[in-house]
Amino acid sequence: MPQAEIERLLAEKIGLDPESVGRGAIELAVRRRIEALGLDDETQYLGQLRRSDEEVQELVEEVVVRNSWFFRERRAFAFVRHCCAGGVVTLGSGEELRLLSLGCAYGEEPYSIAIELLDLQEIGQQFRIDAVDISRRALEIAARGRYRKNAFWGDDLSFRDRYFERVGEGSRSAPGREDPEFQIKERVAERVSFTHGNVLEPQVYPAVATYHFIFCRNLLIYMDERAREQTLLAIKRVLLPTGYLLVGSAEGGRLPSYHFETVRLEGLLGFRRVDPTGTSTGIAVDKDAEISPAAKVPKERQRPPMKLLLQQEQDRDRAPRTRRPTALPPGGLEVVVESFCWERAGLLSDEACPLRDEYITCTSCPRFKEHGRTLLDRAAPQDYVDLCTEIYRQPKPDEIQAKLSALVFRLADRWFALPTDHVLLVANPEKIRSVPHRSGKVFRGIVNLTGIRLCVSLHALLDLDEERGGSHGGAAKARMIALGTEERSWVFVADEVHGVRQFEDPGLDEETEIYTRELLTWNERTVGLLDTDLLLANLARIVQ
Amino acid sequence: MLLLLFGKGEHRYALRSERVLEVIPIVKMERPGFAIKHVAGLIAHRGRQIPVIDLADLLEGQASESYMSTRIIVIEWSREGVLHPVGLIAEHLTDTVTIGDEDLRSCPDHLGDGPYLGVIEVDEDLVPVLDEERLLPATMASDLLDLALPTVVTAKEDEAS
Repeated sequence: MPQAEIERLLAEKIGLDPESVGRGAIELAVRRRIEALGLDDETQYLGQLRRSDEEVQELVEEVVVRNSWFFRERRAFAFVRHCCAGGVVTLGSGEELRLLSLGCAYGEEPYSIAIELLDLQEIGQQFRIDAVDISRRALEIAARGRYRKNAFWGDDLSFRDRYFERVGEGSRSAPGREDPEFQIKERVAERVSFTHGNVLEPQVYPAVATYHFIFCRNLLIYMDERAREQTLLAIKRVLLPTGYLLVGSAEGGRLPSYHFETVRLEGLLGFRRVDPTGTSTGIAVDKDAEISPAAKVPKERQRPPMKLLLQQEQDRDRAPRTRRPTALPPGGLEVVVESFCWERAGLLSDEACPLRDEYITCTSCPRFKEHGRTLLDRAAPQDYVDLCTEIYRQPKPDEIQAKLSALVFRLADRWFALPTDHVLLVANPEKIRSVPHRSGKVFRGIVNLTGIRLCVSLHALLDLDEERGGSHGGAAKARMIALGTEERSWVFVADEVHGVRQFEDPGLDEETEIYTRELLTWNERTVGLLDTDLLLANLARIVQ
Repeated sequence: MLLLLFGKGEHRYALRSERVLEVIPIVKMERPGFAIKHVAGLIAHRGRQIPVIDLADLLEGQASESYMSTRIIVIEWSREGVLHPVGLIAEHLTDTVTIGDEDLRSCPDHLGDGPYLGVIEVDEDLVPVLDEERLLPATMASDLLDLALPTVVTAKEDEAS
């Protein structure tokens, strides 16, 4: 319940669609915050979250996704350049070009815009960029303007030499390895002003239509419908009638047609806003302009047989480097293929891939996915069909019963298990200090095992021969196990600890020895499950 | 709503997941005692025997091939208040898609008579959404369900072994 409530709260505050980041991500973030605050559970945390806006901010910091790099989806920047250079956007005398970057994260996007415009002589010096993000931490980094190598992707990094200062050559821990950082130059930084704010709140926007270009990329995808609509309305309000909104390549479809319509500028696909006044405002999405044909496998064409397909793949990828046979599993086709493009154009390679601006790793590239599918387009081998037939004719196996997890250990020549909820720790044996007049057969003394604890002999309690303990592999395997609660704990020496195992909750009702509740089997061994309650009660009685 | 996507190229279709019990790989099929159009045969599924309709045959007029990506979608048909399991063979079933209810549009004219609930847009293509209840004409469907014998196929063997 608290989880759903937390998600609802996030949706309300920042318009986050929990599906877009994955519920697991939110759960993880919440767990981190609970840990950081030293709280007990989600219910407690939810209370905190309701009381404190600062905590909401902290959670937002944990949740928001902000992966970026310079000139991500380069065509968006090319679009701005094209508009400015080609006279699509013209400035009156004394007028300044104004741009807004929503969800600017670590600042890569607004700085990239600034660089693109500084490169462009036509615009000269008359432009200003506002950048907004919800994460304070990200904005701190953005304002500092220092970036590691991984903020730069793509083939043309010449801008880095022009607009960045190389600092901190080689880290101290590994002087041989180059780990430089890049500090953005003042003439770029001064163009951008960062503001902390939530795009759903009106105060982040100016009161009147101000901007020639608004970048709102890969932000709408994380929003629920209400937040998206609210954001788009705000954008519509502050975008000049002649202005353009640029969204991420995956987001074009999310723009309601009553706000925006599509325009095409020099091969750059965009949308033009529908205005009640009749004047229209454009929005540009870098959609299919320069994407190589590979990204868009023509759907109308039936896929040729596999061999042919791979052949085409080579043609497209030119300059194959390796040649090696790839044998598909039995029943599949045997084909000889050149290396796949992702093996050459991966993260570590210098080789240019036209799609590298789009996808951070090859595994998220549609081409990779396409290849994966072709593997399923081979004939199903007969033994596979036979196996499946056998599996699916059987009744569905019942869900595995509630599991019991228990620590398995050996005392003398017998194996025992203790439910893990009673085990505090397992450690190397420490010296047992006997207590005068008290130490006996069962109570052995005290031991310092992350605190002073009482040490008992389970061997004695269970009437096992302590001397035989070592015979199965020597004293080196002995471990101390603490059980009980932190307030009242007992330590005993086990001759060997196997580890934690999952057992099906046993249903055996065999008559067993006094301390063992049930017998379990594990690796064909019989393991006695110790009755912890009885054990603890008796220990408390014996050692008073 | 979550939909299964199958077929490829221009021949892609979607099926709502609500009535889907299970999607299984292609398995061996028994020939039924009498032929029913578009019915590929009977399979032993989870201890019972269920009839299987070949969607490629039904929709494209061409029997399906057994690829690794060809799967049998086990759905439930409701007839007179009783749910009957039925298998559907679908080729190239490798994807699902999630859409909002409002994304389901009415069929363009040329699809009007087909067993479709409407169309959805997937990657700029219009993909028809099958109406699982209307795949076969009523009489044929009841013939088909007569084939389904709710007998337990494997339980006895288990006892013996």
